[in-house]
Amino acid sequence: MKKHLSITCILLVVLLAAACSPVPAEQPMAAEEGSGEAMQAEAAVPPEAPMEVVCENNYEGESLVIYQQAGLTGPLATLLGTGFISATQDAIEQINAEGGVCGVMLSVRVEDTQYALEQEIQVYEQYRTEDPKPLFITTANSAATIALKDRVVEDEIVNLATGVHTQSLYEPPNGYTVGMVPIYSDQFAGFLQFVHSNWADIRPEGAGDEITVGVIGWANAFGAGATTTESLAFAESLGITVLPLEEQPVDASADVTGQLQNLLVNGANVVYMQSISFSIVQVISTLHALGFYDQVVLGSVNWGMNRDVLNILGANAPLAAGYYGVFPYLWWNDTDAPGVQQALETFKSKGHPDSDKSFTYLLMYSAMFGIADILTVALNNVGFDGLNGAEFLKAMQQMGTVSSAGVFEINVEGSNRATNKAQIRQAQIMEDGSVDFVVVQDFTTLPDMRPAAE
Amino acid sequence: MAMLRPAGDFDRSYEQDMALLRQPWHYWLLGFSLLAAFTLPLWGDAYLVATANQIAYTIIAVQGLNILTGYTGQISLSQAAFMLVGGYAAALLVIHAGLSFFVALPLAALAAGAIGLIFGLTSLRVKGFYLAVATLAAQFIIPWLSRHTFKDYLGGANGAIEVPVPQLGGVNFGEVSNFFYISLVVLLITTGLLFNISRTRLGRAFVSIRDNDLAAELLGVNLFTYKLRAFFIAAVLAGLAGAIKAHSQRGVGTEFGYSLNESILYLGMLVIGGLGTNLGPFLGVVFIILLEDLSDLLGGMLAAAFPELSGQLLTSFRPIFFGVALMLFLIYEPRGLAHRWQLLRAGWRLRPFAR
Repeated sequence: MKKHLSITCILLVVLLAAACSPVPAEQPMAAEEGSGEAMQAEAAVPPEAPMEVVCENNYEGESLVIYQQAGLTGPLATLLGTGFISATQDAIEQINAEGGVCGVMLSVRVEDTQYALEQEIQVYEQYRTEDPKPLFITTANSAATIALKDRVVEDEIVNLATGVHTQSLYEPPNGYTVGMVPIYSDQFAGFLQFVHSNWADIRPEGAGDEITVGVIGWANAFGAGATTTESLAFAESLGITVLPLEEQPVDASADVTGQLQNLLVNGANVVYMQSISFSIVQVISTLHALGFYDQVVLGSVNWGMNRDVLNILGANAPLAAGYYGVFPYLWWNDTDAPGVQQALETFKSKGHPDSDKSFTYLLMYSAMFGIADILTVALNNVGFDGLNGAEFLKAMQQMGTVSSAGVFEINVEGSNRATNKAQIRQAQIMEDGSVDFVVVQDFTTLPDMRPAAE
Repeated sequence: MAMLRPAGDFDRSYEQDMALLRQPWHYWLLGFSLLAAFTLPLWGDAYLVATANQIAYTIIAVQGLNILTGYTGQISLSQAAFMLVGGYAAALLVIHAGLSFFVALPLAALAAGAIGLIFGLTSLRVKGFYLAVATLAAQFIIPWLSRHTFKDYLGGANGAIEVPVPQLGGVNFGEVSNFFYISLVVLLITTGLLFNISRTRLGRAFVSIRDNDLAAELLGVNLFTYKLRAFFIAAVLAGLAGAIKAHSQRGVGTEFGYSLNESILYLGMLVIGGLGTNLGPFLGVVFIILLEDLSDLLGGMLAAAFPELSGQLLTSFRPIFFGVALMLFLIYEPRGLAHRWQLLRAGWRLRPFAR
């Protein structure tokens, strides 16, 4: 009995200690002076046409490997894996068929990471010892980008990342990690700004003037990427309340009823999804099931607005109509843009099914042309033998803004490591009954949520 | 399984009876294995060395689980959580207390052991599947606390990522080819200790609890303290493995591979290797990690052979192959690889009468 009593006491002490430990609620910081100026979105130009870069020398006979690490297997493979492979290969085939980059033939090497951090690091360790050392790698995992940020600086290998956490790109500044889309906190702030500016038009029926945002995100670095100290302070400056982050398991069969009920019961009239794919579908379906879909404004990070959401919903795709997404690139329906036309043409000629028209293909395909331009500048600067990661980054900085076939931009001016402009799009039902992502706010400059330089 | 020995082969002294290495070829095998391991960074490529490093610290974690589950019969699904404790403890001691990694390593192991003791308290009241479910609590509570409390120190969802590279006497362990030696030396130490624990009073008490806890108690084995000791040793080894892993990955946090999946995988490795055998953790870990690599390799080869199916093969082959291989393995060798190895050895020793 005595023993049981002591066990109970120890357990109670442990639980009390855990309960009393500081659990910082997502309380916004005090608003900075002048931050109210950012209340109106500043119009920005859409991605520019690629700059004309002419080869000064020919390096026929030389070749260069593009190193990629991606989850080719695992739950996100069909979303992020196959697109990686086919898009890169299609673009490289095309570039090589046109004579390569100043005669240099490109090839690609992809290693499977299953988006597991342990494997991401292991694959990177393998890449960095290759001879010659990679100039750059491409990664697609927020946690990996954060974990590799110091290593890529030490090794002078540029990491072209789609996992764009503030920490990986800007802490410390001037690193070797470059984002292919705006950092997540910029995107969240941009969405808040859009909601704030258009509240009168988009607010759900019966909603008051007060905007309360509930964020539901994956229980990992990506999920926590939107709600940084800076973006929470920005929300406060707009008079927007942001509820503590609700975590969503990275699981195709997860139930998010509890998380959404928490947000709704705490007055959320806006829900922002910091997740992708099946997790977006879970939120949409659950809100419909609860009868609350029309009672909130639903928005998502750019990766959350993708074809796969509609693919998963299938015949129920119209259920997704109405949700907004931050959109820093052009889309398949921007058929007047030459870069999109080119992607469409290749996509069709390769016989890929329409259901694969995801951001993965469009971005990776376009990115290869941007990379070809950077390589051209670097080759003009130092020749083939002088190529290395530092020169690759220098070439990017020399270009300032790298246009990837006019589909999206990479901004590496000065200490910038990602672009900061995006559209807002909305899933809408088209005339033929299909659902597509339609522009409701054209390109604007997103609020700058980079951490203040120390 | 009792070791089968041919007639006439018997020990003449206590030392002979206790010897770990009995035959000349044992010494040769050990010497050759150590030589191969210590020279691996000289002849192996980066991926091989990184894989060997991963294998080494994973074996340490599974060795801990072997003491708890294999020898003592206490099922645990929280080994990865204790690794997380060890990883964080080592990282924080190095970053904030300014300790050397080599000092922080044993302290981190003790910290994990202390946490293991707390969660081990439940083993007094419940056993079997109930205990497994109780240990799940650790696997949920510890990662949750690491993500949501003391964010300035633990780094929240991103984890603590500024874990410095260990240094010793001018040697920088930032390169995996150098770091591998840390994992290897610690593994050798834990292996030596565990080979002996299983032959001491402590080890025999563990086995008696596993085989029949009521009988063990009647024979004077204090169930409560011995179960707690097993939990402590398991968590200490998990802490060691976690500390090594954190410094090897130069970061620690819930995304660095400390989830329930890992805990289950470690248990799977142990079952496949052989529960309650010293060789089991080695065989199980190597088998599973190499099987993962093999399934990647085969998937890639098939994708190259059938380009029209490459997308499907690259995405689906690995989990299917991996799953089927494990299933077949468990059907045909449910007692683990260590048992198969013992049969092979016995067969060789008793030839030509092996069958």
